[in-house]
Order: sequence, then C-alpha cells, then structure tokens
Amino acid sequence: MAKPTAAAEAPQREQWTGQVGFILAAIGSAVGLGNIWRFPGVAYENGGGAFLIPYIVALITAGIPILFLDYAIGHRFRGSAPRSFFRLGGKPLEALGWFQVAIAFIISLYYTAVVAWALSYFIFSFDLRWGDDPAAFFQGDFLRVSDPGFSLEFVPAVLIPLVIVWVLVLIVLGAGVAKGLQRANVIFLPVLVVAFLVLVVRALFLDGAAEGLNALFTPDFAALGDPNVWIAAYSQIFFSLSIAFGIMITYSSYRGRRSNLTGPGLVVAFANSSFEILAGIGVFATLGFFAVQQGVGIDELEGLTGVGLSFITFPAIVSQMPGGPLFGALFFGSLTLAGFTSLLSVLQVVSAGVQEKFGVTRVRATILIGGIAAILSVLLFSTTTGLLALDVVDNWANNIGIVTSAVLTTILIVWVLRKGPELQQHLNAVSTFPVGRVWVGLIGVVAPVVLGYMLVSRIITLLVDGYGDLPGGYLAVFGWGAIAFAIVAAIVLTIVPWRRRDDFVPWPPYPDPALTATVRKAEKR
Amino acid sequence: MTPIAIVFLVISIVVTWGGLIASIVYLGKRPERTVYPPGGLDDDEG
Repeated sequence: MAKPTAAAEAPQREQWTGQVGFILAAIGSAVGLGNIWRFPGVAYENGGGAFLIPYIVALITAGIPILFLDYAIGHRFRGSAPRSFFRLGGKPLEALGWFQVAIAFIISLYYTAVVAWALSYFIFSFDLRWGDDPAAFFQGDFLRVSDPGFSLEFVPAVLIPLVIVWVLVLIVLGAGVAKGLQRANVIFLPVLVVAFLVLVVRALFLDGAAEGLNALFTPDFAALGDPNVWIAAYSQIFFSLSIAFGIMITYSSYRGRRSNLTGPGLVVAFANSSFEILAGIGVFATLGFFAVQQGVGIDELEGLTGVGLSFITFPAIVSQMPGGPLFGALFFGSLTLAGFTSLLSVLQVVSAGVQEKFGVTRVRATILIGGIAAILSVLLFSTTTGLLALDVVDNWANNIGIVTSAVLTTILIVWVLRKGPELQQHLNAVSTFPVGRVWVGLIGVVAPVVLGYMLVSRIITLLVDGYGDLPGGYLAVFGWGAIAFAIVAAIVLTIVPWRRRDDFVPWPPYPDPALTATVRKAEKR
Repeated sequence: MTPIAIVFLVISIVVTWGGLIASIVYLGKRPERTVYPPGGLDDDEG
C-alpha cells in the first residue's frame, strides 16, 4: 500500500456553480419515484386530508432538522459521507459513512432497473403495448417473472433499457458536479415539472376527477388517534427527502465554504412536499376517472401505490382514456426523469467516497463503480427473478438500512460525540435562517425516538411475519443478506487506510466566542 | 367535490406551495450572509 501523500497536494474541491444549481440538484434528488407513486396512496390510506397534519408536523420536527444535519456535516467537514464522518468522529464514525455508501450502492442497483422499466413504458405508451391486461403484460410479457430464486435467464426487454440507463448515468457522473450532475438537473427538473403540470391539468378535466380528489382530501380525523398514521407520516417525509444515507452530506460538501445552507434547505424541503401534493392531485384525479369507468368506488380499487400503481393501474387507465398515449407518455416520462435525477445523487454518494478514500480521479471512480454496479444490476434485476429480488432488497435497504443509519447518526452525533452545538454554530455562521437549540433537541430526541420505533417494529414484523409469503431462505439472502453486505463493506472499507494524509481543519473554529458575538450581532440587524 | 374536501385541498396547497413561495422569497431577500467569520476563503479538499 502506498504511503499517504501530503495534504498540500489536495486538489480543489468540485463545486456547484452557485446557489440555484445546488438547489435544483438537491430538489432533483429529493423528488423521486416515491413522490409520485408512494405519497398519494400513503396519504389516502392514512386519514386523507387529515394526513396533512402529521405530515407537516413530521416535516418540521424531523425532515427539515435532519436535512439541516446532513448539510451541516457535509459542509463543515467537506467530504463524502465516510470522509466527513471520519473528520467528525474518527474511524468508528467513518464506518457509519461507509454503511451509508453501501446502502446507496445497493439502492442504485435496483433503482436503475425501475428507471429502465419507466423508460420502456414511456415508449410502450405510444402504442399502448400492454393491451387489455396490463397486469399480465407487466409480469408475463415484459418481466417474465418466475419463481423466487436466482436465475441467469436474461430478459432482453429489461436488459437493453437497463444498460442504456447505466450508460447515461455514468456519462453524467463522469462529467462531474457542475458539468454533469448540475447540468442534468437544470435541464431535467424543469422538464419534469412542466410535464407533470400538464398531466395534472389533464387529469383534473377527466370524468370522475372530483370523486378521486374527494377520496384523497376528505379528512378522517379519527385516524389522527392512530400511532401508525403518525409513523406513516414520519416515514413518508423521511424516505422522500433523501436524508440520512449520505446524499445530502455529499451534495452540501460541494458548496463553497461561505455558502448559505438553511435558506436553500427550506426551499428544497418545501419544493419536495409541493411536488408530493401535486402528485397526489394528479394521481387521485386519474384514479377517480378509473373508478367511474369501472363503476366502483375508489376504495374498491387495487394497486394504489408503488410498482402496482405505476406499471399496472396506470397503464389500465391510460388504455381507457381519450388521448391515452400522450397521457401515458407524460406519466412515464415524468417517472423516468424523477427517478433518473435521484439515481444520479445516489451514485454520487458512492463515487465521492471511492474518489476520496483511494485518491482516484472522478472518471476512474465512475468507471470502477459503474462497471461493478452495472454488472451486478444486470445479473440481479434483468432476469426472470428480478422483480422479486427488487421488492425484497428495496424493503430491507430502506426500512432497515436507511433507518438504522439515521438512528445511529443522530444518537452518535448528538449524544455520544456531543457535536450538536458545533454543528448548530456552523449552520448559523454561514446561513441566513438561524437555528436555535431546539434544532439540536429535534435531531437528538424526536428523530431517534420516532425512527427507532419504526426500526424496531419493522424488524420484529419481518422476523415474525416474514415478507410477502416469500421463503425464509430467500429473505435471508436478498433481505438480511443485503444488510449484512453493507455491514461487512463498512468494516472492510474502514480498515483500508486513506490514500491521502488528512490535515483538515474545520472552518469556522469551534467554540469561537467572537464568532458567536458577531453572528448574534448580525442576526439582530 | 365536497366542501370539506375542497377546504383540505386548499389548505394542503396553501401550506406546501405557500411554504415554498415563502422560503423562496426569504432566500431572495437574504441569499447569503453579509458577515462571515475570518477565513473560509479557500475551497480545496482540506
């Protein structure tokens, strides 16, 4: 192993070109598949209009505070998740950073497959290729789903778009932060918003749209007494904002030192929620049309979230709709763009970690990671067993992997290392929206309590009830195995020494009485 | 649509989109700090 080189040789850190570029990239990361296919169904099933109350409470007490925490860590310690955590708390905390990188790597493997499906369905929309039975088409003709297991029988209809998406993603990542990530988001995000707005306006003029919106927005106040509704709200906010698995740490590390953090953070958080409400309106207006066409109530419809909503229910609706091909193209085009910009951010977490740990260039890191990830992705998710593997890995990576990461991050930083005041000072030293001590309380108490409860209850459910009637051995390999892989990867990569010696000194210094006085004086103006 | 659904539709839009507009206006008025601590002018990898 070569000796670490001097820090003086450290290259200039890549940067966003400005505040708007950072905000668009962060919104592009946050607005993903979950905004379109998860939020509407979750809101409907958890109190309808009344769900807004726990949703906003969750946004303010956990979503925005953890978003600010990620920003503060990445910006103060100026690195990927492993490097930022290493600088913050040494080797033990570095392992948590690598755990986040490993989870991001796992997610990228199947997220790419879903984006590839959406891209295929975008093309299928023009001739309504799913025919009269979208469910049979999706699982049979398109994915050729077989029994649980591991098959090497590739499905060309999935393999080809999957390879195309991988090539596009790696080109963007290889082009760098400003010329790749930022440029892609500056182009794709406005296109996504315009396309989705057109879709929503069209949906509002469909027969039955009012019934759909009634179903979504009529409040069920009794639901507010159900703890599971509150957990669903915290869960939705948490998964939707791209927090606690390295993305926002990595993204904020590409801001100049003298850069506002909390002001842009508020824009990102509310933009994400605004898009979710927009998606709720569009999806339920469309479902209202479908229910009227079928002569049933909304509550009798199946497949209101996730893969079922997008690839079975929506194609069925599109087939019955006047101007269906255009509507389908708008929906699947939006899904593709939303997924693609989120996918970029997930892979940047991995790329940044590898670049910094091994001292390799951006292009080399992209080729290395992209090559490994693309091969694994193709092997696991473009075969006849891909759908089942995807479902299981997704459930474990999100509900166990990311939530574990969040709980450990908040407990270790606030309670073990007691870095809350330092990070609070950092946010206030560079930002225009000051955070008080209540912020430390929210990330130190509310977040670990709520997320810890989510984590423990989910683990118990998975251990006792299993998942989706799948064999225990299968869940052990693809579910718990994914988490075991992340833990092993975190340990191994932490043991590997850093390629470059690190003489990093955080700015501004902490504690700094003069800074505190200056900041307070400025805040009073 | 029923009146109660319309009310909650409007509240949802006002809270989220209103929050977005308010945060954009806030950021527009205060895009960056006017006072920073000394230092922090270099942007290398540290």
